Amino acid sequence: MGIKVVERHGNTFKEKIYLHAVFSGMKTTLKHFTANLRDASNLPTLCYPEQKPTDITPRYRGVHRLTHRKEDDSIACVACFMCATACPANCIEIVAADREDGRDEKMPQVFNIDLLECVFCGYCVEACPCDAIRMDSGIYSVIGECREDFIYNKAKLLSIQGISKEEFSLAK
Amino acid sequence: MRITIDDISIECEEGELLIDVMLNNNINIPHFCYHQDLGADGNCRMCMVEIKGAKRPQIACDTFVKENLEVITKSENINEVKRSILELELLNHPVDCPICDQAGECKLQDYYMDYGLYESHLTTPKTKKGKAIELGSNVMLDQERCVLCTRCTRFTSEITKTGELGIIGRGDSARVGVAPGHELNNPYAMNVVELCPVGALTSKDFRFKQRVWFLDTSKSICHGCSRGCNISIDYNETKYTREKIHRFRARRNARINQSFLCDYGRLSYKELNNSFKGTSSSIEDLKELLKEDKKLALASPSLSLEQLQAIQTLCQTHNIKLFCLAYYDESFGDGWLKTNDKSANLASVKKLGICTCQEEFDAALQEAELILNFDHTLLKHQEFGNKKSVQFTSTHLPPACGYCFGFANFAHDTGTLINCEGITQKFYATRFRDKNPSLSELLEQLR
Repeated sequence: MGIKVVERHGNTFKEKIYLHAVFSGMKTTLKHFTANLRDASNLPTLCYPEQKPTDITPRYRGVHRLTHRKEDDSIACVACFMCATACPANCIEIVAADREDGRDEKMPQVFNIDLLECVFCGYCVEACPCDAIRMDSGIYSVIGECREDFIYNKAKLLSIQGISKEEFSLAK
Repeated sequence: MRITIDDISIECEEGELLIDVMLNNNINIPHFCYHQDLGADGNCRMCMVEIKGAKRPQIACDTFVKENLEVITKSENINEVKRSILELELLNHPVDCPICDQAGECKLQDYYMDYGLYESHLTTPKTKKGKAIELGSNVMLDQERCVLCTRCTRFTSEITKTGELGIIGRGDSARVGVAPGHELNNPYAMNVVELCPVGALTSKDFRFKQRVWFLDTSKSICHGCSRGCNISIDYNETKYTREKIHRFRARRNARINQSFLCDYGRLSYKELNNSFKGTSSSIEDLKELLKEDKKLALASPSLSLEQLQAIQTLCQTHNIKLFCLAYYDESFGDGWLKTNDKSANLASVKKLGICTCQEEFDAALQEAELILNFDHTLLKHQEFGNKKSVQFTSTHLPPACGYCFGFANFAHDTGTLINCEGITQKFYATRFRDKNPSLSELLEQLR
């Protein structure tokens, strides 16, 4: 491995008194200050929550949702536990059961995501072989009054709409 | 005699099968149809190896070892052969691993990752066969996942000699099945689930309960009868559920149960999840009680040697008459694994010289004023009238008026059993502690 010798800065008199660096920093701040004072419409800051972000795309990792099958609008999840296995926060609780409608053999009886534990990493979406769990809801804010409000169950996850073009599961 | 496998010299016996030598020496050899307790069939062709001097690759399950045999299990050629065989086996496989209970312990998955990794060449639709067929005796059949290794049919025809299962049809449509109107029905039927290397035969009892990679395993001994079959206890505790035992699997022991287990023993895991949930009585009260005259103790013959020793010591120091009655069931034994004596450890009882005489016990029970019952089913739910009783139990008991102490069952304790043939075996506790103390710990407090 090669070694790159880097010149050591900060030893000159000009650098040691810091004044030059302070004033050059203040120059930038002052430039922005006067520009923003003249025209406030260009400010990138949002007055959240009165103002809402407009740049949430389907690729934004929002709150999870469970997708439906195109054929009969039933749940796409087959309770394979891949998401629960991949989850680094261990926040997905699944109880599998026999499926009675003849579509497949297996489905989740319980599917809970604890959003307080979730780190929104998206591994569950990556792991899902059935495109049954997605984070394309665009929901960036979850509000509740108690801890239980943040445990989203199967019915709640199924009811969330996505903002991407594909509404249903793409699994074959 | 010495042979060489992949440049490693290995000692073996004349007349041994090459695959047995490899399995006994933990050399990875993929195989579906060969099973150490069912013998060779040679139909899956997965155990192909190159043998120096032979023109073509040979199957290891049909090759006997010879002096100075040189075997190669890994080479470009042999991997290509295995890949082709695997592709044929997997041609009509539905690849429904997400809903398959075998996923995680499936040989098809393992070998695909080791040797397969090909794209399917199939251009026509896959052959459809029956799925989720209930065969009876808690066995579910999925014909599409089957690789036709015939382990299950060989088990029913050669081991249980009941012959329920057979291969029906030819070529693409060949499938495992039972004759119309019949069902899989024998007391060892669930062994086919474990014998099946893929997800074709799965257990209805374990169906969809857990994915196998979440399970932990502890080595144990079945307490169903005096045979002492070796088992693995599969259990787990998740963030959302308390520790639960999900299944027993047979653990190979060539001297006792080979790789098999009776259905009765296999399903006996359920009572281990029914541990004592109430609050135990105060140990000080018990110390007070032990000052009574005319005391009698009855110990279960399924307790471990260590537990029986602890009870015996307690009885000797407090002058308690100790008895141990066998769980005898004339209709249970069958001459193979099941024995009429349903007590797991009667040999230890006899070794310790504990009285097993029914008449003496009956007479002593009449006289006794304090009865201590150590998990014996005979006195567990019995009313004793004006006599005082103390129950030591590993299972849940409804709140009763007497004194009650819960102790950890055999899944949560380590101990020794002596089986009906006099073989001494140890069983080990799971990783999780029971909320109840072990019986030895409990009796230690009485000193």
